[in-house]
Amino acid sequence: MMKNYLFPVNFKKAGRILFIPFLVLAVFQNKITLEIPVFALLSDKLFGGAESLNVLRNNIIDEIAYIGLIVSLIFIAFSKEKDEDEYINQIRANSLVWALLVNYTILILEIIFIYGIPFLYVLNINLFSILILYIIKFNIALYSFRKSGAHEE
Amino acid sequence: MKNNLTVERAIKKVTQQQLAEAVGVSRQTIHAIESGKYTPSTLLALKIGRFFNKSVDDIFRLEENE
Repeated sequence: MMKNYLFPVNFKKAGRILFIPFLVLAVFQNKITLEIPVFALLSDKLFGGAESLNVLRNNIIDEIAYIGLIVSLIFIAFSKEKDEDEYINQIRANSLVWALLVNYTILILEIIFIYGIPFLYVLNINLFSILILYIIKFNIALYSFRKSGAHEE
Repeated sequence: MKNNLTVERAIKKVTQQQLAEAVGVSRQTIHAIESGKYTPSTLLALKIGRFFNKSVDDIFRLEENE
């Protein structure tokens, strides 16, 4: 049997519960401050350029929010279903390919049509959009699969 | 790929649910196989064959263009 990398069933619920507070934190990241010294592999120099391997003070609210959102979305996306079987695995694979193609199509359109600082904002959205697209596509496909042959023949 | 799963089930008088439980998949997967929407893995095909005491090609058959 091929190994699959899915989390146990109850991680999905945990992901859903965690998602909401981290989303709130991400939305209000500019209103809360928690500044601590952090280690940076790379960072901005004060007057242009970049420096590496130093310690600087940074507001870590956005870091917490982004990591929390990514982890909770991954839990929602990649936890086993109660009735996980090989057909559902195929739905997963198809949904993942679909999400990847749609996400990179959106990214290409962003590269063509969005310039300057707004481009950096939409890149931020792209951090999560592939997971969100996958979750939507997978759940729609799963819903229609469960509805298929709803009545025993 | 064609299959005569529906016929085999009728002969043995088992429901989709019973077959699904016996081979460890959901009932909808059995439904998808029967309606030709899904080609099962070799492992699942062998399990289905074992359930009916038949070889896999008694139940599943290639179509002419395959």
